[in-house]
Order: sequence, then C-alpha cells, then structure tokens
Amino acid sequence: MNVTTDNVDGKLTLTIAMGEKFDFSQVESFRSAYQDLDEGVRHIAVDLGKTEYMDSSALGMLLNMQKVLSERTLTYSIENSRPPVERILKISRFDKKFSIC
Amino acid sequence: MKILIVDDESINRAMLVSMLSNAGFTKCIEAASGQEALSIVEQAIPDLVLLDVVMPGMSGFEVAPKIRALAGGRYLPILFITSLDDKESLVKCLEVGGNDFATKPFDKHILTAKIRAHEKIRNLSAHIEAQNEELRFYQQSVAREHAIVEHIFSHAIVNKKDTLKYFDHALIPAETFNGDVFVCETSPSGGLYFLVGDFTGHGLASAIGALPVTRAFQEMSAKGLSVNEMATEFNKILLRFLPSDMFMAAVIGEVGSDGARITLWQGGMPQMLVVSNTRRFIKTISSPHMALGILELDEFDNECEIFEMMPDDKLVICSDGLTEAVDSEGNMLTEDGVKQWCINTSDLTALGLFEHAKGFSAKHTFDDDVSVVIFKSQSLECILPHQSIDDIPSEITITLGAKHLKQPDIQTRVLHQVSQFSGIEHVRSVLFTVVSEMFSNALEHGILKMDSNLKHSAEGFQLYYEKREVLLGSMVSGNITINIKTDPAEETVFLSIEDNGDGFEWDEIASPQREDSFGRGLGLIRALSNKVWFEKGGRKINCLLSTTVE
Repeated sequence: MNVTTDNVDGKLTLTIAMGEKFDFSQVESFRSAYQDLDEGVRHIAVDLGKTEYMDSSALGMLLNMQKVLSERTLTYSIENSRPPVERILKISRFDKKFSIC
Repeated sequence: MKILIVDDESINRAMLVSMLSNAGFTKCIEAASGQEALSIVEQAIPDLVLLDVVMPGMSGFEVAPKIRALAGGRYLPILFITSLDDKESLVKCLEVGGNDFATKPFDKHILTAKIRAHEKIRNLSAHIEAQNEELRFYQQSVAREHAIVEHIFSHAIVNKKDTLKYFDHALIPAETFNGDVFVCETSPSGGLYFLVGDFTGHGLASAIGALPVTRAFQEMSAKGLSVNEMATEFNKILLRFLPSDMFMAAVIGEVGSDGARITLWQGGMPQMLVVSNTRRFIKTISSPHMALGILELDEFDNECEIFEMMPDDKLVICSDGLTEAVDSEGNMLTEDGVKQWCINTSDLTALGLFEHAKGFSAKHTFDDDVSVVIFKSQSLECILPHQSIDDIPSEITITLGAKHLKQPDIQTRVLHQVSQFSGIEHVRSVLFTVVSEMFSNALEHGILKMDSNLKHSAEGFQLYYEKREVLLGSMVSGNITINIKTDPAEETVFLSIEDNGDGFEWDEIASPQREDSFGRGLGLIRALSNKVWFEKGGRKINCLLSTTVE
C-alpha cells in the first residue's frame, strides 16, 4: 500500500494505492492512511490498479472511510480498477458513492 | 635408457659398449650398418642414437634424417661419432638432423656427460608430450561435453514461433553459451508472459542457470500465475541452487489480452524504456528491486509496476552488456546513451539498437552477453484463451482446525492449493472473492458468533475487527471444511464451506442497507455465482461458479 498527497487539478488529493490484495488484512493500514488527514485535502482517490483480489470487507472499509470522514467536505473516487474488481464494485453499486474511473 | 650404437667397426662398437656400461648405460644395441640401424629403429625406437659418419653403403649423414622420420614427432637425440674434425663436417652433422657430435678418440667423461644432458632433455620432452596428451584428451572431453550441453540448451530453451513473433529481439552471447536468457509464453487468459534475465558473469557457468528458470517459467505460465507470484517463485528457486556470489537480474512481465496492459517486476536490470513514436514520448522505468536469488524469502519484495501502452508503443528491455559497451576513450554507452539513441531513431528495432552499441564499442565486440528485447503494443487476438474443456477434473477437501484458522494468511494458502487446478485461470479473482466471503462468514458468524450490527457505526466497524482478533486468539475449538471441485467439461467450479457452529438464517441477513458498511457478502456471492444454496441449517453453504471467460 502506498499513500501520497498531491495537488491534482487544483485540488489537494490524498491517493491511497492498494496492493495486490484488498481484504480484511488491510483494515489497520487502510484506516491509518486517512486517519490524520491534512486539513486542505478535498479529494480522496483509491487506486486499485494493482488489485487483483478483493472481498466485501474491502467494500466495508471503503464505505467506513466515508462514514469516518462524513464531517469533512470531500469527494471520492476509485481509480484504475481491473475488470474483476470493477465487476465487484458494479455489483455492489459503488458508483453511487464513489466516482469510478 | 636404450642406446643404439651404429658403427661399421666392431672394435669401435665394443669400446663404446664397455665405456657406456661402465657409466651405467647397460641397455645398448649395436648396428653394423646404416641399413641395420634403420631396421632396428623400425622395430622399436631407441632413446638415443650414437651414429658413425663414415660407413660403407649409407653414410651417417644419410641415415640420420631417415631415423628422424621413423621416430615421428617423438624427441630422439642423435649424437654423431666421428673422426672428422673439420668445421664443415661438424656443421653438417647438425644440419642433417643430429643433435650433437662427439669426436674420436672418445673422452669417456665428455661422452657420458653429453649423453646425460640429452637424456635430461629427452625426459623433459617426454614429460611435455605426456602433458600435451593429457591436454588433448581434456580438450576433447570438454568439446564433447559442450556439444551435449549445447544440444540440451537448444532443445530446452526454445521459444514457440507463434509466441516469439510478438517480440523483436537480439540476443548475442559473448561466448558459446549465453548467460542472458529470454523466454516468452502465451498466458491462459490470451495475453503474453516474458522474462529477460541476466546471470552474473557469462559463459557456461552462467548459462546453466537458464535451464531451471526456463522450466519454472513455462510451468508457471501454463498455470496463469501472476507476475508477483512468479517473481517470488524464481527468487526461491535461485536462492536455493545458485552459489551465493551468483544471481540473476531480471525483468518478468505479463501483457494483458488487450495487448496494452503491462505488469512488470524488475530487479537489477538497466532501466527499461517505453517509446512512443506517435506521441514523441519516452518513459523510463528503473529497477526498483534487487536481482533474483539474493534476498531471503522474508526480505523479498514482489511488488510490480502496472501501466498501459498505446498501440504501437514500444517497450524496450536490454541487459547491461549493451549499456556497458565501452568506446575508445573508455566511456560507457550508459542507460542514458541508449535512451538518447531511442529518442532520435525513427525506426527503433532490437538489431538497430544492438548495432548502435556495437558501433559505439571501441572493439566492436562485447565482453558480456548482450540482449535487447522489444515488445510493440498490438492486438493479441490471435492468441486464443486457454480452453478448459480438455482439463482434468480435480477436487480438494481441506479441514482446518482452530490452530490453522488462527493463521493470518490461511485463506491465501488454501487458495494457493486451488490455483494449482487447471482450467480456473480466468476466475482466480472471482474465486478469491467468493471463497473469502464464504470463509469470513463461516469463521466470523458461524464459529466466532459475531454480530455484524456492530459495524453500523464508524467506530463499530473498527471495533468489529479488533473483536475478531481477540475472539480468534482465544478460540479453542472450531473447524471449517472447504471443498472445491472443478468440472472442466461443464466449465464449473463447485465450492462448499461448512463450519461446526450453530448455523443461522442466511436469508434474513442478506438484504443490506446501501449505507451500511457490512452485509454485502452474500449478495456478492450470489451475483458472482450461478447458484447458491444452503444445507445443515445454514452451517454449510454451497455454490456453483462458471469458469468461462466473459
């Protein structure tokens, strides 16, 4: 997992790039990725470009992130997901909560 | 030492025999004429010849070259014995092939000293001859061994023509054997795998490592393993059998069936380039890792780089034999030199790049093996995805007790067993998700009896997983039985997971609120499989998955 904060299109963006597997074993590290979020951050991008395997606990973690950060004004995106992962996101209708690109 | 005495005067011969035997040379043979001497030499070549010059019939000058011819390449000292003492005759003695001369009347000490000196030379010569013989033998056996190894290599490391056509490559070994290796295979999902490796050093010792690497590569390609699984496996293999001062720098890559998506693991190789002519763009990719066969299993990092190429973009991979070409002033070509050349070249080919480096090099040769491999992003429609219908059906049942369930990577290990089955290459991701869901439900709800409602709040979500940790740690009994069965003819995989808990009503929990960060598992399983059903009061869940490619 790799976490970076950059200015993307004029918005300070936190990018969380997940590894090959995104399941409950990442609970701790995923949470810590957004725990001390910089005040200026306006967008959170979850990069699933490398993720081959994912389960519903990962979906839970994504939604929980939004719940934890609900006081903040933020937009969210899930990026670069591979076909099998994209299918899971689609089945779960995640496009309603995240912009999927 | 066998000495042949050739003299027509019997008195002279008798005198010499007695003189020599007094000096310890007891094996003397006498010949009364040149003719007799030759027939003796024909029978058995003596170790030294004392030859009279003036004899009736054939003179010593005539006999000497004939004896030489009979002796062949062997060192045979010929000493002329003569009463002639004019310079011309003495010079002639040496010219016709004599090694030395002794003038009559003989001085016993001088003659034996001369014979001893020649005996020494003869022994030295015999010694050298014996060594040469040994060398010739050794040379022959090495040549034979090389021929055998070459045969094995040329049959073991062969890329299929249909696969190789997607790559433009130039591989030039510094010696007969190549310490660089390039292998490519099609992947079961209709893409490509490739490996460009460079073993420490060059020649046979380096090349030998290519055999197990190639075999492992072919096997793993057939199974459709991911690049990072391959990297880990290669590292394991090389760590085990290479001596500690040897390793293999490598690029391991997979091209997706779209011909554009590249997954790479790269360790210890010069930077790779992605060159786009149409976009006038060049991207460098440096090795983030150490070479294979160095790091212990727990230190090894199999993280890969993933990127997309546009049609006709070229991925350029080369070994350090190319970047380390040296010009007449001692400057290396370097990675940057290669990059500059690629930018300025309109028609980039592997051979073109190789020729450039060769022209750059002062010697126009290379001290190390040189490899250039270029993949051009293109349609891979001709590569047909693997058809599972011919695969054999397999089944595995794994029962995990409390001890096993506590291991954090237990799911991965179970799935690793299953991934050995043929015919499921396309559904590895789906299989992971479904097994993971079924397994989590069995463990968390069936055995640990946890309540998902805890996950309602943001804090609860975290708490849930903390609680899971605690409960799992103190669990004493509990087991989960996983049964996985592939049916290639039907193109299905059957999965069942049974736990020894109390069972529960699945349907009630199966409709999650959209806002909730839980309760999606069963929905996912349902959506991903053809059929889901329960047995034993909810303790056992079964599902049937399709293995066909979408």
